[in-house]
Amino acid sequence: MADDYRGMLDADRLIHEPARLVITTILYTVESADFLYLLRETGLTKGNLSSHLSKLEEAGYVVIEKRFEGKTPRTLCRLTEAGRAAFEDYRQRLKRAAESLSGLG
Amino acid sequence: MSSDIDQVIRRTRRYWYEDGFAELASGAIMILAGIGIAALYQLILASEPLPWDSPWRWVIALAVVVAAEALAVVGLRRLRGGVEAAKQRVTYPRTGYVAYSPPPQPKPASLPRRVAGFVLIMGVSMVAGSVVARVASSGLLPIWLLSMPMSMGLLAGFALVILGRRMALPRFYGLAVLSVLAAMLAALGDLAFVGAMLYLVLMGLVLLASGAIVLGRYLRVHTPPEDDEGGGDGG
Repeated sequence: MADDYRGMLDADRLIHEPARLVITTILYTVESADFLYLLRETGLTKGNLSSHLSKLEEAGYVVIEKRFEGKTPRTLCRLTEAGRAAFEDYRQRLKRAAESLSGLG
Repeated sequence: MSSDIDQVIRRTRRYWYEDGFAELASGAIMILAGIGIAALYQLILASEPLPWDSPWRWVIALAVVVAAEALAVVGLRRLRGGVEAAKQRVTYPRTGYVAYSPPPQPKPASLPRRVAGFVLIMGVSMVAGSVVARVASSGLLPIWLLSMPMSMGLLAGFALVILGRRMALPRFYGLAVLSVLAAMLAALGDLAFVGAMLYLVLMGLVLLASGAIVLGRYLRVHTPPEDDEGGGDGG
């Protein structure tokens, strides 16, 4: 049982950070979302959000694509297969840890 | 933390319903379906004077079924397209763009499976029909409760409750109650086709009103962005 919550020690720290966890959770739920949506949902500043997205992009978890819809620029973010797998793994670890902790109580 | 993740997932999913366009489009489609049923009913009435063994009766009946199915298929296709177009103009520049993954397409079933499915559906429909007929004749339940508008209203109400629960959207519970009330009102008018038409129009109006209120509130809260030229996301 202890192994279950010790599994959290090996959890992906890139995803574990709260702001990035919210970003990956949103992108896991949808096919893609733009910068404006992520900005509004996370409540981060533009600079902060850009920095977190860059880290996720560097890790190969997120693909960022800039395009124009007419004259309007749109920055689209999408979770890659690796990002999706990393998020699922993180969620499983979290679930196991929560279950083992509730078993202790 | 796990429940926080679930909350973010639910919040992201319900973004589709945040601006009221889905309700507005569903309401419009329901009213159109009601009008469609009225037109088809007129077609059935037109065949009344024909003798029972006239082949034209079959032709008209077949035309009614094909037209009803075509109406449903075209309506459902237009629904999502219309909502998407409205969101493109109003919602995405204000609160951001989200593309939802298309639902997974099931593998096409083999012919024996399709036949088995058809037989199963027919069997279940026949059993359900005979149960309804027995209950109706036994007098256990009032006949209006087993009527066409009532079954439509209960089915739509059930679907709205499930959607409201999945998305954590309490207004859908209210819409479910209104669906049942609209069905009861329609059943008072007529128990068959006309009642179904009445229900569709009434529920369509309810959805239009709900969508308009939600859209009005959304537009008051979210003004178009001014900081970036052309409303870009500045990412």
